[in-house]
Amino acid sequence: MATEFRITIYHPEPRYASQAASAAFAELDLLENELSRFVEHSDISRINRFRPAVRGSSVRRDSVLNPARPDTVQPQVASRIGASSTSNELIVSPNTWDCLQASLKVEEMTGGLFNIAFRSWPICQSSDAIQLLRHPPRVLLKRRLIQLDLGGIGKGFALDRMACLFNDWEIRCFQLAASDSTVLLGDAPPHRSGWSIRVGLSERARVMNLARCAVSGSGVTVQGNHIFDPATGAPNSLHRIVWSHATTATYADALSTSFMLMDRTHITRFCQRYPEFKAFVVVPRRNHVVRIPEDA
Amino acid sequence: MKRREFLKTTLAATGGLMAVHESRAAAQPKSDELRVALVGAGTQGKLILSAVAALQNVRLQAVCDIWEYAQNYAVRFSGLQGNRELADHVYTELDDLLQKESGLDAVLIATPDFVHAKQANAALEAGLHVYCEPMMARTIEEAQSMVATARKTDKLLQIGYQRRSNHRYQHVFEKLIVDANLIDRMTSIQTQWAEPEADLSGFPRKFPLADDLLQRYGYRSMTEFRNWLWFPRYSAGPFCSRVSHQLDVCHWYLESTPQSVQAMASNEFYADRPSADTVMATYQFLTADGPLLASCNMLLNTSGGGMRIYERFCGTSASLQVSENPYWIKICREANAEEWDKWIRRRYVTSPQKKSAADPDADTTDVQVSGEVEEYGLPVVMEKAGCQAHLDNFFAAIRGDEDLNCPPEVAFRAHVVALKSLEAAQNREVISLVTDDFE
Repeated sequence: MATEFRITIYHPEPRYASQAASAAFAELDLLENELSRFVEHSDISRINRFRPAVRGSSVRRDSVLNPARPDTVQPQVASRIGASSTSNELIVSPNTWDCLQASLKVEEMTGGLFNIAFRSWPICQSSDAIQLLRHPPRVLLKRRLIQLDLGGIGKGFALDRMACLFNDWEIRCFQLAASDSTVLLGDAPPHRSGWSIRVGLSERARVMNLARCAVSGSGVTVQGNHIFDPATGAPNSLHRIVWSHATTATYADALSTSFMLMDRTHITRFCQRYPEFKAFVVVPRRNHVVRIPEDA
Repeated sequence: MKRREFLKTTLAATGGLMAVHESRAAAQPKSDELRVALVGAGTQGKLILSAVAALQNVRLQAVCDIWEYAQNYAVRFSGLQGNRELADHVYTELDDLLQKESGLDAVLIATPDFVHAKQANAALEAGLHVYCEPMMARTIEEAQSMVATARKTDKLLQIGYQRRSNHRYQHVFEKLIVDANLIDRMTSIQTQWAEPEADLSGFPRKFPLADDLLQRYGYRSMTEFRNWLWFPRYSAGPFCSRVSHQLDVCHWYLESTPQSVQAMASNEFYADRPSADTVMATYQFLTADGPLLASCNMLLNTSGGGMRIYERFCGTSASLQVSENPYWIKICREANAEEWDKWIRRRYVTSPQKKSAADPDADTTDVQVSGEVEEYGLPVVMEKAGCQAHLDNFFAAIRGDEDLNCPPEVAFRAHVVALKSLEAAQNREVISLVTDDFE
């Protein structure tokens, strides 16, 4: 994830709200340690480093990954944790398992446009790279040199988990935001019909009052053309910016990325098939925002 | 005597202590699978839960916590891991757990300091091995009782100074300091533990602990229960809890304990907390190369400049800044030290990230912008979170495969020095530390 999160809470007791926010940030820290590819011992980093053991060999502390290339400094890796008796399996946390499961689901729904294995070489779909196994939760690696990146879904997943924790704290009226691109909304603020959410570009933006839903935006306006077509491995955004609307932040986050790779017709077909999701796209040249499915 | 020789000599001289560990490490497992109970499923207990869940041959058999909310977390987490039986093995009293649970190999303690000695001693007396989060205890006497009980029962007691099992810390000590002598003469140590301002922890209102339950377990309020670290009734305090980890690294790398300590402390930032939030302590060590000063600072109201938590060992040839966070590690060679090409080839360090463009052997001097300090890296990847690696060592020791990395006699030294530091701050005096203090 390695990004900025913001929590806004309406509650009659500011200190209680602050303590709940602290607890949510602590939950976020745990998730970061499990999901982030920037944390060396996260489940995702371990999967990305994992090389199936040669049958009959044992992995020792201080073993060097690639002794065939002494010119390259290879990391010394401690004895492999979570490696089960089947050498291609890694035990992962329930959170990682759930996030990977959601990723595979969105990949299936989008016909492979959403793909957390897009960094793998050669490129492959994540469903061809991993299989999820239960009890204990673990990942079966179906091929070598897998590189997973939850950057398109991890933020939203974290927001959903933080909201679950707020349920324990009976915090109902909240807005959770990740890197200003994905927001998860609880109940509407007092005396208002919803949280004021703006989508669109500058003066042609659209402002909506929303509650109990998630909105996520993806685009090329800040990070450039960074969304990759899993079929080619090359950047291939079809929009300057697009937004998704869903009941969970996990799906909102993942779908906004996927919608960038769909044209309007494709998005419309998708939203007809899965009516729980909506999209907002900017009409080229006119710059105003339309909702898909179209506003009544 | 060169520092490297001194360290090797000292390592040999501590053979008596090592022999004690080896005899304990000979404890035989009952089967391949180790069965453990977790005592305390709070903040640190959650990390232990995750660590145990990732291990194939360790099963969490029972959990003990006085708070239903924490119990529920452990049961739910274990259920997701496929361990649904844990729901039938939940306790609020450790004695109850020890009486009813059979087949346990070890107890993992992650409770407030003031119950560590009682709980660890009870588990050891019950014939179980014990992993205990630091501080060992709230007082020196309580910690001494843990050392004595571990010796008497001949059971393993690992204290959670997890840097001892961190392969990066081990690499720095074994390769860079002892073998390559990269620092040469160590002249000073600086450690920092900085955490930005944070509110006292609260709790979900629908999960309170009843007043009679709080009192039964020694707590005056839910606030004190949730923030026990800040209250001297329950804890040795934030300074001891945090900086004792770093003092332990100093003892490890120097193979000695300080001769004296002086310190100043302030608790003016957090008006609602009775323990110091800022402590600056200075220690004098005597090494084979001469005296050495170490300054250890704890700042609980700032991020401390980004690199929040580290231990920096400075010497005539290099400065080694070590941290559990790989982004806060800085390995720098002094300008007058020999080139490190040999150590790069031997994979002791990686090539500098910011290499100076200037070629000192060239005929023409290339005048460009100012060069940057060369920062080398460590070629070690941590496959495990710190807590996980340390627990792994504990379980390996139970199986007889490894020695404990942090037996109680080792941890006791950091425990004593941390508590003496607070005493020095409170009394505004220099406290001398003698061998008897560590017995």
